[in-house]
Amino acid sequence: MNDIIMQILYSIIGGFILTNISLIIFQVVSYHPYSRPVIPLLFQSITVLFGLAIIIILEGDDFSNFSGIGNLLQILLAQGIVDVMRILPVFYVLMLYYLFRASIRTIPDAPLLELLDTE
Amino acid sequence: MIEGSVQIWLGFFLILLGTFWGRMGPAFLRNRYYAPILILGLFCLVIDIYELDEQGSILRNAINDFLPWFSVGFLGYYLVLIGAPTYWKTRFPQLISGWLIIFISFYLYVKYNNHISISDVFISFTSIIGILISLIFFMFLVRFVENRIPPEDPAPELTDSEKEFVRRIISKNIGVDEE
Repeated sequence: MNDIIMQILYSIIGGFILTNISLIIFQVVSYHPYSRPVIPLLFQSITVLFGLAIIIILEGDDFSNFSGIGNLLQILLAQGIVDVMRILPVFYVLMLYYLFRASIRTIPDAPLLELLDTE
Repeated sequence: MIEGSVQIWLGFFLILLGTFWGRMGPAFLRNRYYAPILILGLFCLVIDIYELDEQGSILRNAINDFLPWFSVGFLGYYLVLIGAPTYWKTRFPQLISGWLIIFISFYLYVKYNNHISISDVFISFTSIIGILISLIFFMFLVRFVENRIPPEDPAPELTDSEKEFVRRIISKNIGVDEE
């Protein structure tokens, strides 16, 4: 399959698996008596395996280049983390607009707060 | 090589653990060990002791390119936010130094990431599709589980002693306590 399409698929499934594993860890470490994490954990684990299976099917014979499913999982997780670190600067720049607006905004008159100064 | 992989993935796990513990529950009930765990996780990711395999090296290089500009930019954002007149008067030293530090973070980004092409960034953007699918799927799962919980019976009315207790607390808080 075309290299670029494979890269895109790796990125999509990498992001999917990274988020799923983060949410699985979140549900485990934030367990409390009122949480019901069993069904989400089960289905999320299945979808992680499903994502791995898509890559294994698409790679076909090339899957033998990987040393196992654990290795593939590491590759996809690393891909997800690298992708997030690459796209974060774009959001960083977008947030600067709001930061700039916050820097130059003038606060409305607050007579009650001014009273604090006079006391 | 296996030690390097264990170290880097342990770092990733500890960062997630620290973040989730630090943000979970009301402020007075949050786990107090989240900060040391977060710092330990960061150290595991950054400190270069063991040899890494291919994907570990890719991840380590990406982190080494990411952390300088991100940590400086984070500091700049923090300073601008505490200097901005959001809630009270403008604090010019924090505001100006914050913006200067943000501009320095741009320089650091260009210095450490000049090998990343625009097409790499565009391909990385597709990971948002996977992230969104995962989040939407999680929301549906939580909604499905929450909807299966039968609604509880309405709470019984307060007893006279409970009403008196609530009245005393409110009176005390608004400063009209008879005592």
